[in-house]
Amino acid sequence: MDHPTTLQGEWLLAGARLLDPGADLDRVADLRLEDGRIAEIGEGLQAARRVDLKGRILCPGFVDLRATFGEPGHEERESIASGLRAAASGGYTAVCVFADSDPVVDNEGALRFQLERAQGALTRLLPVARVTRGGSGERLADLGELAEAGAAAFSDGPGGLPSAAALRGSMVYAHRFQRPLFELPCERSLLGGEVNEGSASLRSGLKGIPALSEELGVQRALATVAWENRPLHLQLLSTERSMELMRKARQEDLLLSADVGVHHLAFSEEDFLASDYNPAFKADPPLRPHTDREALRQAVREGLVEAIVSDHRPADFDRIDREFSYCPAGAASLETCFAAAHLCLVETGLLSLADLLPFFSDGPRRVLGLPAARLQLGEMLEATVLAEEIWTYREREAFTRGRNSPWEGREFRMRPVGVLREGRASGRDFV
Amino acid sequence: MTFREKSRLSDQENMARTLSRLAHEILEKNGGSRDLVLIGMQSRGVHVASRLASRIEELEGTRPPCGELDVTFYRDDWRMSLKQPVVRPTQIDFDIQDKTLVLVDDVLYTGRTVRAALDALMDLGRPRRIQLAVFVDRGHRELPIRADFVGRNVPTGPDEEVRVRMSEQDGEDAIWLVERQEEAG
Amino acid sequence: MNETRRDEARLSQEHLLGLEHYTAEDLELILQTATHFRAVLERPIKKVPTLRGITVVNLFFENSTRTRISFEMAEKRLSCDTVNFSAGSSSTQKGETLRDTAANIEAMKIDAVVMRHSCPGAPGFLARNLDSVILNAGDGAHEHPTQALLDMLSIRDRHPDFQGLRVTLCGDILHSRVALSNIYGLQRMGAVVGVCGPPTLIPRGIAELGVRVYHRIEEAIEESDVLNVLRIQLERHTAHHFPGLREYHERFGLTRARLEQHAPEGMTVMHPGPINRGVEISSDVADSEYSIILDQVTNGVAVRMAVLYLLLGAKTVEAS
Repeated sequence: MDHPTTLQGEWLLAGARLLDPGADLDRVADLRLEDGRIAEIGEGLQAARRVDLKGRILCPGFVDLRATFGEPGHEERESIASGLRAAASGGYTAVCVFADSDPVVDNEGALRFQLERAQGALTRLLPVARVTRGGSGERLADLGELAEAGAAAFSDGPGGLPSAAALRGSMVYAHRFQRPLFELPCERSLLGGEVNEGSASLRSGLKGIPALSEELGVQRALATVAWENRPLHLQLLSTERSMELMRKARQEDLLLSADVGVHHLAFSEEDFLASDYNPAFKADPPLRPHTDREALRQAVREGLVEAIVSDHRPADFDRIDREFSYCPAGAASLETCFAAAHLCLVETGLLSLADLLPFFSDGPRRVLGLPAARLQLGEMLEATVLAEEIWTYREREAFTRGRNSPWEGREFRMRPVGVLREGRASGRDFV
Repeated sequence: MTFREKSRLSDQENMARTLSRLAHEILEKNGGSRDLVLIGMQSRGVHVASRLASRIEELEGTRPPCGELDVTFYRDDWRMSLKQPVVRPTQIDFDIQDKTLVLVDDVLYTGRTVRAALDALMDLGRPRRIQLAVFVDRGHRELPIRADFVGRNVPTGPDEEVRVRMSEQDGEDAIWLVERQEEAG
Repeated sequence: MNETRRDEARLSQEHLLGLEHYTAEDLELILQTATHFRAVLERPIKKVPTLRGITVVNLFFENSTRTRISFEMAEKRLSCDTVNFSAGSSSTQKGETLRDTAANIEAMKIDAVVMRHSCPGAPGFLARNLDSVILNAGDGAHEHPTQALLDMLSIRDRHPDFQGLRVTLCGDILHSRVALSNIYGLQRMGAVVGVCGPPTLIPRGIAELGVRVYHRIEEAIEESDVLNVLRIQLERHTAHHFPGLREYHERFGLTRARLEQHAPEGMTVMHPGPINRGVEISSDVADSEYSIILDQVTNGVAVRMAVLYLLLGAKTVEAS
């Protein structure tokens, strides 16, 4: 995925299964590109240059709503370059980047630095700027300036916005610039733990974070959105009750949207307990009981969330080679997110592949106010190439610098193997 | 490791005679049972000591105090062995100070167990003298230790061992010569 | 005839990280062995040469004078060489990681590490990274296996059969490292375990461990044969746990009047210490015939000798 190939002039992508549920498209056909734009779809097409995609699936490009990179300040965790390569390897054509940086991205300069560093990468970096100065939750950042400089969304620090007043003000003001506000719902006075309060805290001796914290946050968000009638996007919902609240919001037609993290779909606190204090199973919000995990899977099926996010939070080896309590929460997951979602939603028979794709493409684009990427005539092709094959995730072969993947050594049956955007392509078929 | 029984060296009658002779020798050497105490080493030495005490009682009218000693904590070789020894009780309910103490075991071999027992006894008190009585001496000493009373000398080869079986523990009275066999598979 | 196996006494585990994975046979072996060491402690010469040449490091990242002294005493009674390392005198304050600290100590050729650490799971981390035998002397609010073992040994002196024996832990279960080890160990031996305390100090979902939950001390007394009273650690409590010591003593404290009114015949009262007299337990209980608090201390040394002996045993050959 290192060096994108430029698809200038006429190219033929031959024999792939073209799968775009949003365009009602599912057929094996050739696709002819002219300077990256879809010129013709059909059988037996000819072009000057040809890429054989027989057996592959070509679908609208993936967008991730939540990934964290460390540049500047913590490049050992993830630089912008390594993170974007990992994103391409995970099938993403665009990724919303939260900067776990020092200083934080709360001003135009820091934001432009991010965008400059992302230049040349195939995967587009969509900066998520802090909604308050320093991410302190107190004074608003210069949202207008940030939006103009390219902020795709706003969000506060890892603990979410500290008060109802801060949430309300941020939401209303951000809306003026047509940028979504992302929020991690929680009640701060109930935080301060490391694992789910319940089985996990009881048996591990670690401090618990109650589901109550998240559910109070969702209730507060729901009430605030209802009151202000402005949009808000909640991230990483992890409990059954949160999903019930989202159902309620849906019934009331509120401008509240949400996503779920792939860890919460894949794992439960039982997996943490079985992991013998493996920090890759330290999540924020924490991994919940398997009943919550089942409820989340059902909620995806029901369409209560817009997106499944990687919540990529890479940590280098030194940061996790220590006592569990001193390890950061999160996992490196850009390169396994889609395969893992496929594993727990498609391979379990809950969804078809066509049902799963919108959570990686149309849904996130809708949240960001971006146009959908369609496999239709006249469109610039923005697509992900998938291969149905058995593969094993190995950190040493991965592009991310993160060494905190819960998937190390595990097997998958679906693999993103290429991405195409803006007339360029990368992946094993395009070398 | 497995062992094959090679030959029976003693039966019940034989063993009773040997035991009786040992009791006589102990009494003879010490001029009676006055100040005499017996300490049996775990596990079969305990039974030998108890039988000796009974025989002495028959001969003298009084039964000498009889205790049990486990030397696991004093061994120098237990960390080199494949098996972790089971610790058995040490039960000595009488004072050994200034007594004539007869240490009793079933088989005397390298002498290391006896060495450990001497160390253990020194920690428990200061007997006037310590004597050693064994049912079988099979040779191959690694330390300068000898028994004062020996039931029977049985020279053994490198692959041979002696098993004293006692009805209290093993369901029969017998002494067997056994041979080590190659582990199957 | 397989004689080598017949009298083998080996634990199923290589380390003592907690009692969660110890079998009933393991626990029985430890308690049996501990009774033999207790006999040694009754002798004029209380020391045996069993672990001569073995070096044990007591790595204490958190203060715990009692536990450290008890381990040190056990090590010395077994003729180990001991080295004490406490966080105050260490390089951890200079930012050295646990792995580096431990690896440096191990490079000095040691055989075992006894560790107290505030982070749950830290002993397991050490076990994965070192070749030494690891003994957990308390990891945060997770486990404190030797405390539970000494509690069990003390209980058995008064109540020889664990089967059906009702043992209730009273007090701050939420922040306790003793509770979980006691629950695992006692249940494995067949005891019926209960917990009692203010609902704010009982962890959510504890019933899934199969324990009975009491919120009234009188009820707990009536339905128990043994009460193990845990220390109220003032520094750990916020205003949301309980209002104050006076109310705690009034509502949950173990007093003589309560015992006389509600206790079944032959009840035993224990406390892992140090005691807050007049808070979780009153002096007329702590010093009474109900109490076996000082026996617990003696048993602590014997139990620690037993686990050191069993874990450091017959290991050398395994490698060869």
